[in-house]
Amino acid sequence: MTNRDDIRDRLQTVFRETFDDDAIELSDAMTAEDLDDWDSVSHISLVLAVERAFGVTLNAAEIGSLENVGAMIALLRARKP
Amino acid sequence: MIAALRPEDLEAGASASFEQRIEAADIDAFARLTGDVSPLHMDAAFARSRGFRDRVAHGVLLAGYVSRLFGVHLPGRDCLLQSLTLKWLQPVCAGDRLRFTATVTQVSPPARAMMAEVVVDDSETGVTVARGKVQAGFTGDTA
Repeated sequence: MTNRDDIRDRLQTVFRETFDDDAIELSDAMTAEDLDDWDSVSHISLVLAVERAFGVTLNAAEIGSLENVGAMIALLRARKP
Repeated sequence: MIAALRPEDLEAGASASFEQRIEAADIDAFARLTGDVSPLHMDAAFARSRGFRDRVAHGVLLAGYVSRLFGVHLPGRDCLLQSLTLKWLQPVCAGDRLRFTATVTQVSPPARAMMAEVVVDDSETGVTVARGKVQAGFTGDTA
């Protein structure tokens, strides 16, 4: 399993727990428009959950760059080489 | 006095608490305000017939005090509640004295948000009557 695959799997777990939906399957292009419950409040919940799960602290620029799941994975790969 | 803590002022482990005695008049006022006049809350005989000690305080009345915990104490003035979950573990009746405690579990200044755990205990027995989690944002500057 590549590092990218590992991060994707862990991120998928975070998504499933945050949105309480075990059926969520992540894709790089996935955005808030693809999940009904991905609103502004749950986006913050997601950011906090990612920080806890990956042991990182995201700065404002990084949070603002999270356009889709692919961007999240790329960021986490950069932070956790 | 209302606190005015910013995300940068907080860290995991920070906490605040206060005590509140639940009066029958409070239950009455909440019933008038919300229209929830279930006899469980309004009729002592009915409540006892269902196995409770006395009229049961609305669970969401406790949530109102949780709102005070965050809106006045931690973080205070700039708090904007985003989500609240609360489990009511034990019934609360008129005359009970409760301690409401919030403890920060995570803060993200860049996200302008915090997470906290909430515990509501009976001050006399020490029994936890409610437990929950809060996610809160901050109003004010977004720099």
